[in-house]
Amino acid sequence: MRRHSLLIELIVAFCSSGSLVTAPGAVASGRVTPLEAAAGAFRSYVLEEVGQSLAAVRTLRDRIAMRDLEGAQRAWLAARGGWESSEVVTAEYFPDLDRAIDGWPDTDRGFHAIEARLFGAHSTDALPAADELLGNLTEFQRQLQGTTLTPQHLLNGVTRLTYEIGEDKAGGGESPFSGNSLAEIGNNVAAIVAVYHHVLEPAARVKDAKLSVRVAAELERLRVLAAAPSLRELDQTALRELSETLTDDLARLGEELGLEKPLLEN
Amino acid sequence: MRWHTSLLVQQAGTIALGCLLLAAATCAIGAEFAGNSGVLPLGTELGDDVLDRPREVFRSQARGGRQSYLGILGDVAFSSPLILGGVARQAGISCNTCHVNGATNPRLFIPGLALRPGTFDTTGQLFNPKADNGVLDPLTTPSLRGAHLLAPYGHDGRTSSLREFVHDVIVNEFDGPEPSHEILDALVVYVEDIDFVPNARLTPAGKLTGPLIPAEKRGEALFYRPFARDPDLSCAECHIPNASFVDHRQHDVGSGGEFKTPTLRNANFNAPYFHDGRYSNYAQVVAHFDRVFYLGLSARDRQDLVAYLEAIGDGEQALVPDGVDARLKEIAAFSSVLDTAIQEHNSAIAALTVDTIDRELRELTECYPERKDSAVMGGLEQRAAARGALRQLVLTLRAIDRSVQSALPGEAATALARYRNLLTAVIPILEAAEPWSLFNRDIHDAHFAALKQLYRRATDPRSNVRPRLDID
Repeated sequence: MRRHSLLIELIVAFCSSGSLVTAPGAVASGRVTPLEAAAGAFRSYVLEEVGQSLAAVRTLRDRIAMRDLEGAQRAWLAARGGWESSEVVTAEYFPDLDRAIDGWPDTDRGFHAIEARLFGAHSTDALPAADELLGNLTEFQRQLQGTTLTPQHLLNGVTRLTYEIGEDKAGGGESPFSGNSLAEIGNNVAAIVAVYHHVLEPAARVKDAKLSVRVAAELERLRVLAAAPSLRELDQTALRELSETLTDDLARLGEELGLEKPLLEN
Repeated sequence: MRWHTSLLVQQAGTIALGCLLLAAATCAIGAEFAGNSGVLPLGTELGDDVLDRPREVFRSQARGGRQSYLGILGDVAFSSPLILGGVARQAGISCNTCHVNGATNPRLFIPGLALRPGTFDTTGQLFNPKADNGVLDPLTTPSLRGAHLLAPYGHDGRTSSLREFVHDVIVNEFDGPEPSHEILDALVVYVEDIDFVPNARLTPAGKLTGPLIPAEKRGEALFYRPFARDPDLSCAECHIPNASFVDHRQHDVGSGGEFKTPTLRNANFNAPYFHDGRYSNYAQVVAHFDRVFYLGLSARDRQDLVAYLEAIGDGEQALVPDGVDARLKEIAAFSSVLDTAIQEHNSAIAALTVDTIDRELRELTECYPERKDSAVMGGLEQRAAARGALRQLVLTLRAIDRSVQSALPGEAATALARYRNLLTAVIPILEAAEPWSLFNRDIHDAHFAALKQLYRRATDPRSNVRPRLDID
């Protein structure tokens, strides 16, 4: 479903913009470049991920209200998938909502406050936090619907996320109470791959075919490394090295596409 | 993404599980987070959020010189998990995790390998199953200050060779790969270069000097006084007052076997005491000797001995505040190894050095709380600038390794120059953000209080207090 709607948006975008790579002057003339069109179309991917997360958060809220611990835990895990896939845009466009939804260490607000209660204390005593999360995620979805994604912001988002994948997870990673960190890395990687293939790669193939092939190969290696059976078996040194090499190559590729050097923090 | 459970993380890798100790302490035995998927056991404490760090004093520098290439390389290796094996490497543990800046780590605690903080079972199951002796027999982590004067090595004094001892730690205790001769040599040079922190009240002959309080004077006399029941013995008989206060021999002092005489230099900073860390202060140590050797000490005698031990065991600025300056100095020193490695086309050393600096830089990045840190509010722009600059520096560093591994020394040298320039350029950015970093005690305390609170919420249903700090 997601891929289908993204494909339609991309076809429409390409049909209206002509060739894959447009001269820099095209932007000044007001025409939307294929790269910009692809970035804009990528919103549907993120919206679907957020929609999936939002649906799961609604269930989470209901399960918590019903004091159904197992149901709430399942819903929390389901909600994280869509959220982590949307991280390619969260910090770039919505830093305050990002902080409210995914802050750390936050004891009474956001995903991790709820995670601590559900998976650490095995308690459903988290209704106010679930209500607030539902409200914030709904607002996130609303704001995203009115936002035009740009190649530069997506490049910033993917490079930042790629770099962060290399961070140390020996302590249990981002979601230590639920043990969901590795799955979340997988969601991050899937979103990075999606941005690359749907937004950056078509233009990159024209501009620098060799670099685009290398980035694709590095992304595949990243996917394989992140698919380790457990955090204990994750080759963190290799993951860190690869995340840095790939971040650098993505930045170089952005340069080839006429984008600015990505900000790795905002 | 990201997020170590505490500072250095990291860290450890640095890992930072300081808060987990609290979690373990506040929940019932056997209680465990559903998803405890970390590499180390739940409840592990690496003490990497400590703000005051042991000061490093090098003999080479004390003589007015500089650390040698080999000494700095040894420091790099000492800080690298890559020279160790499986679990240690995966957990980001290095020699420096336990011997912080060559000293000790009194907060170190790994459940299943320790009975009390500051001790560690080197023959346990976790780090090398082949070395497991089936007994929980944790030992204190000895300070390496003055190690060149402290042979034989090991609590039991089993080897006179520091090189052999270091090899044993790497290969047997921590399941590491066979180290190269160069790395072993470097580690030995580094460890032998670590000096005691100076104590101006102590002469080279081990005599207290300057104005002494009466208790210290009386304590010194007691230290030399023959034991009532064993006139051949005295404290000074084994702790020979000299530069090291040891006799290089093993003795049975009623602690369960023969163990080598520990140094009393800088010992104020080496608690807990005895091979197994059974005593947390000098008063308990003195009481032990009084009891085992029937010394017949009065309460005042005991206090006097403690006063004397505190005087000779002192050190000037033995602990110093951690901060950007100290971190960058170390990173700059480590970076100097790359000059030689590139020149000599030594890709193994270059890879090890880049990896170690990389970890240090990532760890330093985490000292600047990110925007999503809900316990810290001020300095958003400065923190983001610092984090971004450090991340860029990491990428520049990685380019050096890529060039070396591709056998492109010219490119590697150019990349090193670029890295150095950037390292210089980031200094003002890091300094500008330091007031909002974890090096600031208020920020540090707010961050870790929030972290502990989160973990408490994961265990205690009634806890509902939320610390927050607003500093603009």
